[in-house]
Amino acid sequence: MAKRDNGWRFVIPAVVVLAAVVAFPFGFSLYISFTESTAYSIYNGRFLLFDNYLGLFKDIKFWDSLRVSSLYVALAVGIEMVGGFFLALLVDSLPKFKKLFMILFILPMMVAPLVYGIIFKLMYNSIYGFIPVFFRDVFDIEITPLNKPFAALFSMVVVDAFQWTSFVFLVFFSALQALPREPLEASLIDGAGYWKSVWYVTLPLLRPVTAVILIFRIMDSFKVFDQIFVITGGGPGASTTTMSLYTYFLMFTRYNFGKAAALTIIILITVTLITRFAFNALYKEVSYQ
Amino acid sequence: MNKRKRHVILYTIAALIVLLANFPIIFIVFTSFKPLVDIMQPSLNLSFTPTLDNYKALFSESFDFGRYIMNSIVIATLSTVIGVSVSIPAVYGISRFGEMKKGVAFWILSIRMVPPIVFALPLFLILRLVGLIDSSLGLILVYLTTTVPLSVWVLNTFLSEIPKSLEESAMLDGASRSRILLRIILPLIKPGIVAVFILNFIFSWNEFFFAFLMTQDKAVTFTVGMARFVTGYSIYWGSIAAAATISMVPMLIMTILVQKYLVRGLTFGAVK
Repeated sequence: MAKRDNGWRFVIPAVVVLAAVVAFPFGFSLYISFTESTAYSIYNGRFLLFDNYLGLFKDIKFWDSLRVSSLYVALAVGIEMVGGFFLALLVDSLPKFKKLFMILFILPMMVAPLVYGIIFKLMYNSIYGFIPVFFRDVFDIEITPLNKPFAALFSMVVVDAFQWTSFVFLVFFSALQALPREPLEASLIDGAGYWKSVWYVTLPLLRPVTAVILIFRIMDSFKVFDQIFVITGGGPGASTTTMSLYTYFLMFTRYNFGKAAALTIIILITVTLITRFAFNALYKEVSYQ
Repeated sequence: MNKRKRHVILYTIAALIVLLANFPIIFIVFTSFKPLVDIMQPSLNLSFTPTLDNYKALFSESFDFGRYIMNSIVIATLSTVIGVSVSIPAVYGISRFGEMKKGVAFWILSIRMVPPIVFALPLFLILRLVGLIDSSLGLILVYLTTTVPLSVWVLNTFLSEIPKSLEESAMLDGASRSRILLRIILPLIKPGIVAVFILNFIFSWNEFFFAFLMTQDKAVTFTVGMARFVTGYSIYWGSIAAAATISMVPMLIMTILVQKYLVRGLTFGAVK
């Protein structure tokens, strides 16, 4: 194409906007992470080099939040991947009304995560919440979803799963819709059972899309904040304090901006490593139309 | 097992899972019509006299929910309009001019990978410095961190479907790049623009974290307002349920409108 009509002209507005709201703030944050920035000296804190980072590695609360985040991501993403996949198989095998069921199953993820948090805060209430009352009246089991550390963390995972299994379902379902039917039918005609055919024929065909779903769910569950903030506020103790919540506490209750900035950089590096690793899979132009 | 029987079983299972999956939504809509005494009842009591009191209270002075909703509408609309407007030319530039495609495209995609908490601190400090904390404009600028990358990536999938030959013949006729974008490309990607509009609006509407950090009073959105309802000393669950219901309905309608393009929107065009 002609060099004089350079495409940059069209890209400039977006690049300017992103430089202002993304690149500059990021650079600023990186700078702060090397200084002793607090509420009293936000922009001109003493230069510390790597002390904020080293401080974090010695901070037991940092390791706790990393553990909480990892456990949360592993449990939530695991449940959602399995649940969403089977749901997609189910709707795909319906002879009619597939579209209707698809729409009904994707509604949860369109609600604000904060609103889902509030709904579950009411349902988890240990006195009049629907879930404890239901278990008590129907199964005669006393449960308190938010009182014990692991129970509280698992209750947060349940909220995540209720909302985001629909995402896994939707992407798997549209991939299934676009798959060629012949291999599966051939396998069924050859006498392989349904589940065997799914395992040996469908699943390998879904490998690229599985990678994409996995990346997105790991990324997004890693940054969870809204529901946990409104339901437990990170408690009891620090049992639901994820890395995002810990960063928030460092910033806005302890005003330790330098350390908080260092923590965000560590979060960024962690997430980047995961996504870099998966980017090739992403870029392989998976088209399911 | 005969076919009919199998179908009955499949549909029954699917219907039951629909109920379970959407139970939180159904539950909160029901709750919004319950009197407060029934909501706080520690028993499985399904009978109650439906009331609109919760909705009435919500728009009274003590809640001020109407103002929060207005803020949400203004902020979501403007951040969407600005985000989409700068993205349309950008995506044209990226897709039609090979050399820079990879670099810029990857840079913009990588922004999506960054957890919002990374931008929270610097954006907060910068907005404070320039006096834009607790202003709609401040929050609109903050939301551009998401609406621009989202728009660029989703529009890119629509643009890549337009054959280059169409454009080349227009160029032979002497049309400039800008003219081609306005007269040929824009009409062809109209459905994409509508889809991106709705996706961006849903994002901004549902956003809580940034809004919570960057607003105090004047520019409070409905998510922040709702979080305040439940962290106060007395929790008015009825009105909170009503607020949740009102905030959900437009999103559910938009979902149905945009469902055809939802997959590529949610995966940034990685899956179509």
